[in-house]
Amino acid sequence: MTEQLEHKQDHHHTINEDYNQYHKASIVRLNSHDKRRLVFALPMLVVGSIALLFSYIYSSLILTFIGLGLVFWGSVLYYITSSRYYPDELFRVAVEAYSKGIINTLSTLGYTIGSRDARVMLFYPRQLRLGGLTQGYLFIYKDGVEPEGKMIKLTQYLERLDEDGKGNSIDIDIPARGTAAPITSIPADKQQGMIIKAPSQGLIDLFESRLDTNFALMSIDELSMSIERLFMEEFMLADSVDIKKDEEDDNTIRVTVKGRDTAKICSNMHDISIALCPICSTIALAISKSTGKAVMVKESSIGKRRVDTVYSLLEIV
Amino acid sequence: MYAFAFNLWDIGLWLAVSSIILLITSELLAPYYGRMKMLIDVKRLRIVAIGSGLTFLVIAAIRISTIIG
Repeated sequence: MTEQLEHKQDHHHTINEDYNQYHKASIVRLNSHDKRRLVFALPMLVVGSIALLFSYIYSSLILTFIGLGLVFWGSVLYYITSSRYYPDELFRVAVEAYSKGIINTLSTLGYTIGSRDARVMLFYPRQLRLGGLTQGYLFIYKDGVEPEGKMIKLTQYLERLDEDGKGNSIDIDIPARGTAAPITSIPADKQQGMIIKAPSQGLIDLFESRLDTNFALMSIDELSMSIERLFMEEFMLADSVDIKKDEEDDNTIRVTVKGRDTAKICSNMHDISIALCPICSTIALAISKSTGKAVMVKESSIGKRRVDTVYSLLEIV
Repeated sequence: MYAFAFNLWDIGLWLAVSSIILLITSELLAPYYGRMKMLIDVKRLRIVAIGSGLTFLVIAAIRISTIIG
């Protein structure tokens, strides 16, 4: 018994030693990104320091400037190069996985939002209790119901929602396992659609905080410039973004996003759902906030380095 | 005798040239993204550029004050 205990203690001690050795090593171990930064910066710093040392010994002005230059530019190079980034595949896979989860949940409730997505509207409610302009929503028409005209009747649905977005318009009784209980018939006036909080609202909040502004206070042209700046400089997602009203129809907005990475994200997501595409749905929500109308994706085309989307604006009644 | 063969004004002039190069680079830097192995943080580059420019201005102010004084 004592021998067994001693053997166990020795085993634990060995494990702890290995752990400590690994942990100590990991403190000084550099990851590949840090190594890449040092490959450029370290030789400059070392050579610069040596030059400064010799300049001090020999009082040489040329060596001083060489040393100062190398040390300064080596430090700057190390400081400005970023060693932390995530592969874009991680972002794309995460977004696709969560979107498929949402779609699966909705299809269980009898709502299908597919790649066509002509039956999904993005909007901001006027009711302050629902968040007003701080929370965007998706309205999804039920299967078999098609939107008509340039207006969308949301009042009856919004009145039934509480502050948490609960109390939605559809009641469905899911029968217990093993029983043959019939599904409760849904009243006709509840069969139009349902409202859920827009998943891309988080991106809108992030964009507005980075710009330190509110999209509701912007015109379409200002929105175009702001989002282009965000996508190009802040998040490095695209080469250019252009949002403009259609020349012939004020209720149509044409958006062109150029960039290989954006096209890749959108092409994967549009096969799943345009309304859940982080790029397209965020732009749609921003347009909705700016114009005060509901936005629906009319058509979308994706090239290798370009995404063209046409949005329709609808009055909310 | 060991000594560095420069004075404060030499450092100031050198900083002036460096800050001009850094400021121009930070403004002209193209937003390449994702494909390069070394990502450059433009904000940090701007901070360094403005910092070195301000340091030069401080050195210039010191020199002006010594001339006037």
